[in-house]
Amino acid sequence: MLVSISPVLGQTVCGIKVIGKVVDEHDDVPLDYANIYVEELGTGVASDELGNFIINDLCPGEIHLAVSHLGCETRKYAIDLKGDTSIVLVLEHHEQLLSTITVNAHKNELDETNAQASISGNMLEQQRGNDLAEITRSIAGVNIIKTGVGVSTPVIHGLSGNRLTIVNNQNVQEGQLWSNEHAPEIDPSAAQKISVVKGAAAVKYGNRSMGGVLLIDSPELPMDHHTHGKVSIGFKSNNKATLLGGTLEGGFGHHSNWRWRLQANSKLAGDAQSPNYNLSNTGIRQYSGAFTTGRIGEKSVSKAIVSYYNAEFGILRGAHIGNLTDLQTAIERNEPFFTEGFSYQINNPKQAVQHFNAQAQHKQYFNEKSSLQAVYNFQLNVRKEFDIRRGNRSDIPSTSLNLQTHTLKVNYQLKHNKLFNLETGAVYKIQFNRNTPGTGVSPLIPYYNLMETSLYAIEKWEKGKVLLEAGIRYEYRDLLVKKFDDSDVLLEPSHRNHSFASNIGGAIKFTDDFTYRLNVGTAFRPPHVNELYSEGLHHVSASIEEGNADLKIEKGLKAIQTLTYSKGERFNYEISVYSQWITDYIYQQILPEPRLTIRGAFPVYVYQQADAHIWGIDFSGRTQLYERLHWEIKAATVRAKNLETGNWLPLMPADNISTGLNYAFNKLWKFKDFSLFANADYVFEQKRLDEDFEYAAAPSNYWLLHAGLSAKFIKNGKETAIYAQVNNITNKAYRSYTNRLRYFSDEQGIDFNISVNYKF
Amino acid sequence: MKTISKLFFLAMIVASFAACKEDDPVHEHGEELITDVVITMTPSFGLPTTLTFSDPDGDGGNVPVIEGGTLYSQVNYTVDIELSNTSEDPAEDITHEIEHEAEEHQFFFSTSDGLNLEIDYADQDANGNPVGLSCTAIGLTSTGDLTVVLRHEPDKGADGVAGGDITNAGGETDIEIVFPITIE
Repeated sequence: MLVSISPVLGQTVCGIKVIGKVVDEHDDVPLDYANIYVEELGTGVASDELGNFIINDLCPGEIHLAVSHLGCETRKYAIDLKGDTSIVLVLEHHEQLLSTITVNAHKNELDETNAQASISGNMLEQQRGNDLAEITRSIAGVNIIKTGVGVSTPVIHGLSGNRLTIVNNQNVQEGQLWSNEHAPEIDPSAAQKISVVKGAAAVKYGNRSMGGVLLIDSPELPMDHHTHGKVSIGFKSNNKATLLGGTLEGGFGHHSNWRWRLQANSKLAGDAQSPNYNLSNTGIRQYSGAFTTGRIGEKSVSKAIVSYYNAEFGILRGAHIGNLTDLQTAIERNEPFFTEGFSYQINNPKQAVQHFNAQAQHKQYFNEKSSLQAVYNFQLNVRKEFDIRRGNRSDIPSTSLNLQTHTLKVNYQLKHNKLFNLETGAVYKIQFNRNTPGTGVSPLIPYYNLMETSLYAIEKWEKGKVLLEAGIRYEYRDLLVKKFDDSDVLLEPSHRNHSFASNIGGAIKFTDDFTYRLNVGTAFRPPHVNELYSEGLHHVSASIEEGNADLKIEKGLKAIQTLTYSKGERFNYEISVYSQWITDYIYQQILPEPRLTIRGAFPVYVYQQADAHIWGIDFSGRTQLYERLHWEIKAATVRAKNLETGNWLPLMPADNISTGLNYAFNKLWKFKDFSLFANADYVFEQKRLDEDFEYAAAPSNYWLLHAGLSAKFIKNGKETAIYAQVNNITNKAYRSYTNRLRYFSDEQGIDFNISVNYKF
Repeated sequence: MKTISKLFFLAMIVASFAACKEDDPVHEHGEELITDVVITMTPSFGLPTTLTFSDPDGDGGNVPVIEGGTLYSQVNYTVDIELSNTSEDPAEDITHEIEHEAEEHQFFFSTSDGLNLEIDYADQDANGNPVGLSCTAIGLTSTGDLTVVLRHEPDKGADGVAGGDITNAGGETDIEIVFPITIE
């Protein structure tokens, strides 16, 4: 077990002493400056350079220690005190026990050659109620593509959707993510940490990782066997959203190694408000829940998770149009058609999505050097989209998809030499996509069965200040599609591919302050079924989309180099420069002749392939101006070009820069932590456009201002945290280039947010 | 460990079972499709003229066939619009569907390229607003294009909409057809 307690002297009066040491489990190295917080006292101590600490004046009974190290998430221990006690708190950082929150013993450890960034703790809590993509936007180089208010999908270095893997609790999220109009079916309220891998990570995460990887991690199961929990309530003024959330966790009795956690979250929002008008039918109803249980054994960790997500998103009523004339009329209007007063009602057009996830995993440590993990995961994704329809058909979804995925994964890790670390594994995935009959609409995404088998190996070599890494992945893929042709004959085309991805990287620490990382990786992406076989009208863009069954596998090579300068609290700067070449990049090419239909003429876009080049720079920095005053800045730029046509690739995020000040009071009135911040975001006008894709000029540049505070106080050992924030303080009317509904309406105006978390 | 291996075994069975399922997709007919539009223009004397739009295979496939017509100058016409979906067997009468949801639909007419033709509504929905399945028309010698638009869920109360001005109507276009017309 991770905690060993031995009574030193029997005493029965108060004034009990706890003497302890915090060490790294792997090599017993003492961990300095770890914080050991006694919840019952509301105070804490820090370990010294040898990892030692002393807590005085304790009373007999149970106490809870929260141990954290170098900004990592807190881990709790419960101790039944009978007398003076000596205790060894072991922080485990190399292996990822029960979850992926790593307690980093050495902050400067060269664990990755890829550029990575993450959001957790206060930064994550502050964004409560925002959707997943919006939260990731606070990382330099990450942006979002939105469809109206509630539906947004993340973009890493210009790539999104099928070119980006989302890993939720170690499993690749399998949803209908082929369109920009689909948001990942994940409630970020349950997450404790959200990280972004910016380089090509196809070796480890598979064929959708060309643009990068988004990792979402739920909190680790508690060390404490007592029942604890968290309740949170939030409110957003702009769309009158109420947020409710609760977590309960504990163990199955005093001596059991089993732990459990129950999480539930809800969000109920009405119409959002732009500065000048109501955005009719943009409400959101979202419910999610998860149950996790697991056991930490001497040499093994087992875990099972069941989670459910249910959401309904209203799509701006004024954005539902019939043809190009309607679109042009909508663009010329200031206020969208169908603008009415505020309502919580969600009418058509709308999306209703359900996602069910079940997983079981087991990790066995054979000895100090090797471990084996096996994971089985099942995901069911049900998506229904409702349109404005004639003849009482509005209650019938016009799209009704059911996607089932089973994945079996085995991962073996071996430290086969002092310097070498091997990670190897296999993944077997089968997926079934079905259209639920009865929509009365020819489906955009046909029936398909998919099987993928992958093998991968990654070798890392680490010596002193140098880390080298090389990896390779092989994947076999078998896709069977069933669809009807124009003469109602059932066709059954199939696609079988063998693909390889590889990766090499290195990291070097020049001095204590400077670290340089370089990662070069290849990635591949087989064309998705919609790119091969879709055929139909896109309401939002008033265009006809046509698949191309002859598409080949897309292949990419991405090089990313990162220079980090880190001098304690004073300076933390990071710059990443990347360049990615994609051969046979799949894109939509407009046909010279529009298609005449009963609703008039429509532009036709056909999926084509051409070589493309994407490159850019991300920059982020934090400077300590004065003891408790910090200045932050981040900026990102991306360029993407079709090398054959010479055109810019559409929907690329515009250049942006964001800067802010943060002041943290040590203690203010009754608050333990109290901090204030103010931010300004500047987004440039996107001038690199492909005219074939734009129905109106890109929106002009804009400034947005935000400010907020976070405060925590402790009463009777229980922590209450308050987060308040005002977004778009000046109530600026603006439009964003990467919002697919930018032709129809402005973005949200001023928004007051408040949320309160109570931990018990 | 035992329970876990059992779990995996179970998972494998579920996975292989699921892999065996063979079924075929159900063919979905485009229920809301309108394939044919027939506009019958009956003069107060003489033979009627019909304007037709026909695209039996729906969007894509074969190009739709549009036929305009010739009208008499300074003669009063009654105009009747019929819509159907001939991809179904038997053909589906869409006119009836529009009549049934008359409050949610309205036709709009506009002329271009010098056509001198005036079309006025001759029917009403339950709220007393025009629909446009029945109209009257009169024209003067000219040639040009007549554009017929059917809007779903227009704002019939908006400025000018009841008078046939589409500018503030909103809603979405279900039909937009351009017919070449000669008036002599």
